[in-house]
Amino acid sequence: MLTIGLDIGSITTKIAVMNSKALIDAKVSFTGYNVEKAWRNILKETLDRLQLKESAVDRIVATGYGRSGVSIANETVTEIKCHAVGARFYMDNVASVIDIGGQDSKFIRIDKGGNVADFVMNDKCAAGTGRFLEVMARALEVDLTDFSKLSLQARKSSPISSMCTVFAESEVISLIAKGESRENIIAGINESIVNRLVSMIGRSKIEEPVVLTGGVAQNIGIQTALMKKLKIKIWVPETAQVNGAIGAAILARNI
Amino acid sequence: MSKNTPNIPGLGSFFLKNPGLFFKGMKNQLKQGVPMDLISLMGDYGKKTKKADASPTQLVANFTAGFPVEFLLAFDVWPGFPEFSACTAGMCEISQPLIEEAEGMGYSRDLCAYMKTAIGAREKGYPLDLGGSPVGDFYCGTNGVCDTHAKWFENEARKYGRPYFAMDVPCVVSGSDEARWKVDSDYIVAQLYDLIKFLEQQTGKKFDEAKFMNIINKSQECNRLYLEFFEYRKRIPAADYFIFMRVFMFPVFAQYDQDAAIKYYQKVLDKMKKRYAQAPEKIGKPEKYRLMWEGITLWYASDFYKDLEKKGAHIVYELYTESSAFRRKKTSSVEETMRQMAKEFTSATYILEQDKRIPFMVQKIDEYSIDGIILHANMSCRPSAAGLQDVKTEIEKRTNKPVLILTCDMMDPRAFSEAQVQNRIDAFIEMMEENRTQKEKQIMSGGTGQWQTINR
Ligand code: SF4
Repeated sequence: MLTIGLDIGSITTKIAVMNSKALIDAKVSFTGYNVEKAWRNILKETLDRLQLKESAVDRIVATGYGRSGVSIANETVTEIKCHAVGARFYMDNVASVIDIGGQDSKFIRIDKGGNVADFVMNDKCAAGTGRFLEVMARALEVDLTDFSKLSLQARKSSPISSMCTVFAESEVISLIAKGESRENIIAGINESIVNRLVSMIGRSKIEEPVVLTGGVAQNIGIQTALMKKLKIKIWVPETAQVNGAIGAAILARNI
Repeated sequence: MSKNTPNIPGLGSFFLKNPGLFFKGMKNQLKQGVPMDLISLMGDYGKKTKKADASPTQLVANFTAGFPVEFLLAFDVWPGFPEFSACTAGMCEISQPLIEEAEGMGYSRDLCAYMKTAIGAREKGYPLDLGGSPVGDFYCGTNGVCDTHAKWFENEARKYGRPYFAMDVPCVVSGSDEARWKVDSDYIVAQLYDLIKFLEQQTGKKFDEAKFMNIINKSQECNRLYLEFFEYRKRIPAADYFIFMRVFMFPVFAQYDQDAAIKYYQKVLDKMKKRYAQAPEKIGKPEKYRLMWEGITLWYASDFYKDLEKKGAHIVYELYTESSAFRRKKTSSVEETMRQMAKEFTSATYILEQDKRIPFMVQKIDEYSIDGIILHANMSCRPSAAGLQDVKTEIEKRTNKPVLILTCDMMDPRAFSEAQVQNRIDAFIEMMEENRTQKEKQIMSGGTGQWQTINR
């Protein structure tokens, strides 16, 4: 059986191709303004690379904000459920998933039976998400990969207190003007994201093992700050960014 | 007492100046799907309010939710209800510019959006049908439900130079302190006697006990019939859902034409009796999930409720609509009625303290066969947003049903992000589905992946 999961996020589109046991391929591209173009392109490129025809695919499940725009999907499922299923693919006893996506950060609690027991998400504000990091990286003229590592060289973190992404950007600019080092500012930004995440998680109940997913999961500065603040061990799959698409592809097996 | 009420702008002149807004408002009102008899009952209130406002002799008093409106009726004072007007603007989906207008006057973003909508509509000269409300000849407010009411009306009365009667309900957290009850009750009853004196002064009439008791009897009957309808909502499929109930509650709230309200509720109940005597399951909509809603409705988002229903999720019980029924117990004298009112003011469902609210909700979850609970964290309404996290945790623990906290606003569409709300609702529905079928147990098996650990 060949299934595909398509996760159409606000910033990136992700695809995962699976057979009944394993992940065959996964890819990430930018969503842009045209959702249909985004998923059609990534689907075509992936199938071409695997030298497969669309007819070889048994089922497709779409997830993410743009899920309803995937006309060829057999079913649409929320990314909450997909991230839970995706995390279970790597760790069958996972109890908590923290997902930091482009405009959403979420915490998902999974019960012993593997079902979503509870979830909480950021509300009305993009602070604490991938979009926030992007804006900050731009203000500091650092690309996101360097951004991830630079905070580890910080001597201290410069606190960013503003709740609003735009005001936080002004705060960052005034810190630059004061001569604060980039590394310290980045550490401060990571800390502010983590503080928001931790207070969001406080509205539910975190239990181990904890898996971190989403595009921001690979950011080593965030990983470190999160573990420090929560005082627990956090697991990050190599395919953290496509975790939702993997979950969708797994769910596609059973619909 | 001389009357000096400026007229509410007419719909015709508003239409000539703002045809686009007029059509938008009317179209959105129509899409609510409110039955014709209820529309005409509410339309009648609008017509009579306009008439009272224009009349040189008819006094109009604006009152807030929770105020004992029966006293106004006993003095033939017309009850103006700005919160209802605000709801109308919400249903017309035109509340946002009104709220912004009020914010431009200095009202903060965090303040009650009912109040801001009503103030904005007045400032912008909106007709009654689109959110406007008359300036009262005097004002009657209470902090029984919320302190916003008291301050809102105090400001209005001062602005327009009108008398204001403020009824202070002690904040006893819904009767949690029984020892204080006698003192609190005396305190409220004394104020109700003051209210009678105040109304005598305003109207130049003497209080007529027999007339008042007649109004109270009708009010009790109205409330009884209204509450009886809830019994049919326990049935599967339920008699009706939230989008209907939020309008259905209006006659019991405003009490302006008690005979018409009683007749209407009786007619609806007769219909229900017949319907459930036959085969109800063949009549209603298929109910995949039965929901409870806590908090005020999203007035501007009728599509949201319709979408929920399309997904098979029906809101069959809300504390909010049930708490709009006040005179629940028969009384036979003015003093007894006042004592009973004091009891009701301090123990309304809407302001129940957590230790009573949570068991109350758990009981309703059982009675109404609820599959999931939505708690509306209302950004501009503190009383209805407080304590929801504790409610969620406790209800989940006691009932094992999924509880979703939805952060929006009753009246301000700026706090409603459709994509985000849909996402949460879809995930919530998935949880109810999982709860029911436990299907995912078989799906989610694995443990075969590669790992990178970062806590070395
Ligand atoms: S209870 Fe809420 S909606 Fe009612 S007046 Fe107070 S803040 Fe406004």
